Amino acid sequence: MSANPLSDRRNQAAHLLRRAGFGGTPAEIDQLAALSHADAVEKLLNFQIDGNLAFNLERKLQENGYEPALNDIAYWWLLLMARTKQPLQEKMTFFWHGHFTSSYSKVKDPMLLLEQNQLFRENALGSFSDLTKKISRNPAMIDFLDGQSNRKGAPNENYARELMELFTIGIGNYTESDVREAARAFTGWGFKDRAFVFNANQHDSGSKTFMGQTGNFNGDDVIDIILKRPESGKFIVTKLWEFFAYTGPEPSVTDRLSEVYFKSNYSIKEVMRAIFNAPEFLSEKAYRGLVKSPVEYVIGMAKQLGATNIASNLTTAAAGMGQTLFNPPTVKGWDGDLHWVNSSYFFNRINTANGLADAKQNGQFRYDPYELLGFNAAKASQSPDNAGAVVDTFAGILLDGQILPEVRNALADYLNSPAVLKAPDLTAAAAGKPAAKAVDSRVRGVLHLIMSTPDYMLK
Amino acid sequence: MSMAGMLAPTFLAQTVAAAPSSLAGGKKALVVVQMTGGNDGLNTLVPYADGAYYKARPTLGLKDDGIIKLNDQLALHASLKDFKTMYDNGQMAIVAGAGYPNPNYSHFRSMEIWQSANPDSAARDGWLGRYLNAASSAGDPNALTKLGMTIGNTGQGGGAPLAFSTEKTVVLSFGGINNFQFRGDPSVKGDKEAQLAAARKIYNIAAQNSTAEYIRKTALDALNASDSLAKISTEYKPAVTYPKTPFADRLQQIAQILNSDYGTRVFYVATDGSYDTHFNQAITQSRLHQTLAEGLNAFYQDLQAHGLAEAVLTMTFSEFGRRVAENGSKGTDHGSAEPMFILGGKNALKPGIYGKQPSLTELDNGNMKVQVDFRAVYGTVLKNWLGADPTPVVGSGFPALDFVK
Repeated sequence: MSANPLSDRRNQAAHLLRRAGFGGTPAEIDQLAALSHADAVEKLLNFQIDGNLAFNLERKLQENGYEPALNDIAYWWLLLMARTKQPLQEKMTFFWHGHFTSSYSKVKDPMLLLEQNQLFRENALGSFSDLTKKISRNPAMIDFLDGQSNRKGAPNENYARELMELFTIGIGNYTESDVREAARAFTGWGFKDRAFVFNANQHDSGSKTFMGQTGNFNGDDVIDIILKRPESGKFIVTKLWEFFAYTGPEPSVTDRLSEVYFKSNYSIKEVMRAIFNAPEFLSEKAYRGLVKSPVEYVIGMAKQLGATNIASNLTTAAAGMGQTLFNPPTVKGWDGDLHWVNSSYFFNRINTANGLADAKQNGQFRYDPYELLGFNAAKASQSPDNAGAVVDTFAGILLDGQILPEVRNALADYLNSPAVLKAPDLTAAAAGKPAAKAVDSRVRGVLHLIMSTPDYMLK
Repeated sequence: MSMAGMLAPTFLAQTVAAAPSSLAGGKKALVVVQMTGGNDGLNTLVPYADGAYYKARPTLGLKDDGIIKLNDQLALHASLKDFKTMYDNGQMAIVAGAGYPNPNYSHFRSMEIWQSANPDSAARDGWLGRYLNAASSAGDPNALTKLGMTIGNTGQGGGAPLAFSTEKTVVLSFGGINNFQFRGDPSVKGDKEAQLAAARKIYNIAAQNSTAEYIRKTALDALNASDSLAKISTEYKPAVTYPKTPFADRLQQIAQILNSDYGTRVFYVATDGSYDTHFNQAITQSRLHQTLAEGLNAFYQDLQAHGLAEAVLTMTFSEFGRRVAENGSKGTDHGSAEPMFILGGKNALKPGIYGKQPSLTELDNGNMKVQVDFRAVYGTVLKNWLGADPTPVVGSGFPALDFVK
């Protein structure tokens, strides 16, 4: 392996698609690799917001008299992530979903969660201030953090606390008194018939002292006061960097991003542009520097295997690895990175990979391993005729070709046992000849093994 | 009825008596139960004789059928009926008013504090991890992996709980024996074995960066554990019918492992769902308490039948208690001081109520004052139950309580 795989233009494009999206197919990587890195970043950043995506689904479901369940909306979103031509739009939506969390376990209304999801999509790269004010009025959020019962004289502190601790500034930057006073400012912010309502008679319009300032503050005032603080800027840019680049950013990185954030008046688009164009984003430290989340892992496999049909049970598979869309485990969302690694999640990952690798053409999940190898393809291409070449082709698609020689040998040895793999074996397996069943099993086994490597678990 | 059916109890007892046990030769195990979300301690160990309680809890205050009295001051939430049974059997101690100085009301920070046993600085490692590092013998590289185990999700965004973490400790996270195995192509004979051999080869090749190394080691541990756990899965039969809850299922898995010679000594589980009852607390807390008490009662009956009850101590905790006064939504906000339950065999512990129920009139910003530092409870378990020196784990200055015989 070269010193920094990210000095290679194609690896840069593959890396960018794993971070700004859910991984690329070989064709998607080729497209981006034809541009400079900066132009590729612009291409991803400048998407057209589709304001109707979620509502198209909602309307379609309701026209059919169908109330969607959790798995319906989770599957819808998973497919959108896998098929979208605007991957950053969905990746940002996914980030906000894990940041401004609301969970089905409490909200119980898939329609409310779908509407919140669309709010994230519409504000994916907008102003953080706007988004924070909008999410504070979002029915799913109000329901999730008990805004309905936050009333004058009997405040419920749940939202006020999490707004500061998890959404905007972080622990250590506010006092218990700030929590109590902020809760008063949000009193009366409720919802009815799935829409925000301000219940004036439940709002505490008295004077509040919040973060050292005194006035008749409402929720928006509280947000304005928080967001002006430098600690808040540092908090949000750090969280973005750790999600998109690597954990523990250098102070020079967060200082630079904070400056962009405040100078652009809280623009997330400007921060994301600065993140993707930062030299650190293409550093050796960034390459395979984060663990794929379960959703990234399953979508990545589906895309790279060239799945023509993606089974709805991939949502359940991701749940077994610790991630259920629309149902984060706590208000903190998913901790991510090393938290995705434990022995139980590990088996769920590799057993899912095995299920996909073994998937046959007529099942719920469909792909053709021989198409990946250049057999059965429309255009003639050089297909591999020995075990090492099979491994190299698969590793090119799944691992940017960045595979340790010892790992490559172990995979080739597996393919070459009990008998050395020869060109006619592969041709017969590609043609679906029953006599080649054992060879077919090995070819699929190699995919399973590659998708089970530590390197493939990383992004 | 078949003959096997008629003879079941005796037959079962003989079978299980012959089964190997992790706890042979006087070894002891600990089960830590995390009540995630911040359990309302006041409606758990209820000061029913205190008028201030009902004044602070006009709608949530428990009385009559809502409580089961322990003495002339304190009662248990009625959904903890099975705990009362265990209490009467001499199988339960309660530590009232547990917490730490300057309570923190963030779920995550307070959970970190309970799991790290270090309120004063950023959490770097966990109390059980520190204990296990000291307890594991240097000779066996697998010892550490085997000694501690998390069963199911512990509700902190996945992964192993902080309680177990140190630089050295990677404990096993276990979701069920059936899913915990390597698979290949089942339609081709020998493929699974061939793939597994290749996978082992790959997982023995040092990876390129520290994250990949962490995954690689987890993978190797998982494969090794899978082999051992597959062997024990047939040797154990539960002696009672466990409630049909995920929590009870996790406890049954613990019983299964304790009945083998696998060697795990510390288990960590979370209850089902969240105790974060800001809204309509009564229904949620009642359901969670019932699941907790019924599950643990079944667990101890099962352990008793297998001759293991005296060798297993269980301790519950939550990241904090809740505010004394209920809020405007028939719920409670984050607060301080909580009861901890210690369960075990009747020869293993001294039943009773330890610590002190906090006053409901001398409050700190609406919160009860902590009466006993939770590190004293951990220290007691470490010193008097596990026979370990508590000082390196929880620090000094926390005198042991007297609940272990």
